[in-house]
Amino acid sequence: MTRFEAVTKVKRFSCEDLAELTPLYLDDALDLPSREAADHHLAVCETCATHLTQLRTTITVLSTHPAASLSESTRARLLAAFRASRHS
Amino acid sequence: MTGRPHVVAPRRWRDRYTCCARHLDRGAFLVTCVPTVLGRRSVPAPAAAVVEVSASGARWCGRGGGPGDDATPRPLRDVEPAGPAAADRPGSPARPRRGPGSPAGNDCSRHRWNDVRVRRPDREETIVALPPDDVVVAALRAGDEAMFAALLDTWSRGMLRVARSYVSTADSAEEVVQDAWLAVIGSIDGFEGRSSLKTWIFRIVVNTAKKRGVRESRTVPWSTAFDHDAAPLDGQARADPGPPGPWPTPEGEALAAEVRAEIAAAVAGLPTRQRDVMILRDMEGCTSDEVCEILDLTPANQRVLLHRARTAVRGRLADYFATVKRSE
Repeated sequence: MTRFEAVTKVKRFSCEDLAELTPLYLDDALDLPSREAADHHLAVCETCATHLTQLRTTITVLSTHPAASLSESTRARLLAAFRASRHS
Repeated sequence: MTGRPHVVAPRRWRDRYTCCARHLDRGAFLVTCVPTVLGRRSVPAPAAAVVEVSASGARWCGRGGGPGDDATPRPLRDVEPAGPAAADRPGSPARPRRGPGSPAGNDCSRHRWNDVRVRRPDREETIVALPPDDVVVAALRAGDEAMFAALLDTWSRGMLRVARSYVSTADSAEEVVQDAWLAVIGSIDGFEGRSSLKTWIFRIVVNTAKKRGVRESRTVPWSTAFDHDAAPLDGQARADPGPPGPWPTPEGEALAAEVRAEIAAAVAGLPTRQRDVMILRDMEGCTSDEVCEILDLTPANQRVLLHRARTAVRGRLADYFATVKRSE
């Protein structure tokens, strides 16, 4: 990488850079400079901002996805098994 | 008996809350975010206090007296009332600034929380945290049935979801979970605390389910779990369906149900490891450390798998919203 390219790369935070950092960004695991760079990019790049919002929406929908619970009979059987194991 | 305070938060905040909860002082607060329909009443007795995160912020619901506002976990203190109306409510206390000693990385800034603004604050959905592992394990060894029931009620749903990823039917998954709990009952005396209780139990589920899955010789699990047409999803090819446009807000119940079906199908079509990571992280609210331990992954690998899964599911949703838009 030439000196010029290196400088440009540091100065300009590209969409690819953001894509690379997105997992860490969503995990809130970026160091402050990277985080600020990402926030700056998101403030000016509508495509990336929308993409990130959609990822967040996806995560939110996933987190509220209903799950089946254990049947009453299995639950009762397990509680009985627990009781029995502790009294043996 | 005094335990560390338990954190109760609306379920839909789980993802962000789990992220922020990493920064809590683990010595002072126990944060294991788990979904439950039981609510605050299911907090086991050793809880010293319960921090309830409602739509209007955090407040203490002390058992044995709350330690006061100062003891509220910092990320919770940063939580502002959800809507602009609530934020502008006269008389609401000023938002405390983070202390100078607070590391910069602890930034759970306002805009992140607003992204997960509660839309219907009237709905009671809560996360209840269990007491610390040593308290739970001691109670189990002492034959505390209420504690065992609390564990059953907090983790079984997630265990079923994980098990379902490996076996062919819901009944089969239930048997896997039952076998896993029986294994837990049988070996709790030997639990050495080298991992957390949760990861220990989930590892048992994964191993039990894997064995069962091999026996069933299944190759494409999950996809039969839903009526929806679950064509296998090629994560790479489907990853980016063109430039993203704004999505409609899935407000209506009908739309929300369709979105959920779409999500279920998308998750079903993921490669196994991506699906496992996604189930544990995004649906069960496990931390990345927990997922790495449960599935034997490196943090980097976990992150890549999760990102691919999220990108694939987002792509599927984007396709769905594009179709909705065209049909309008």
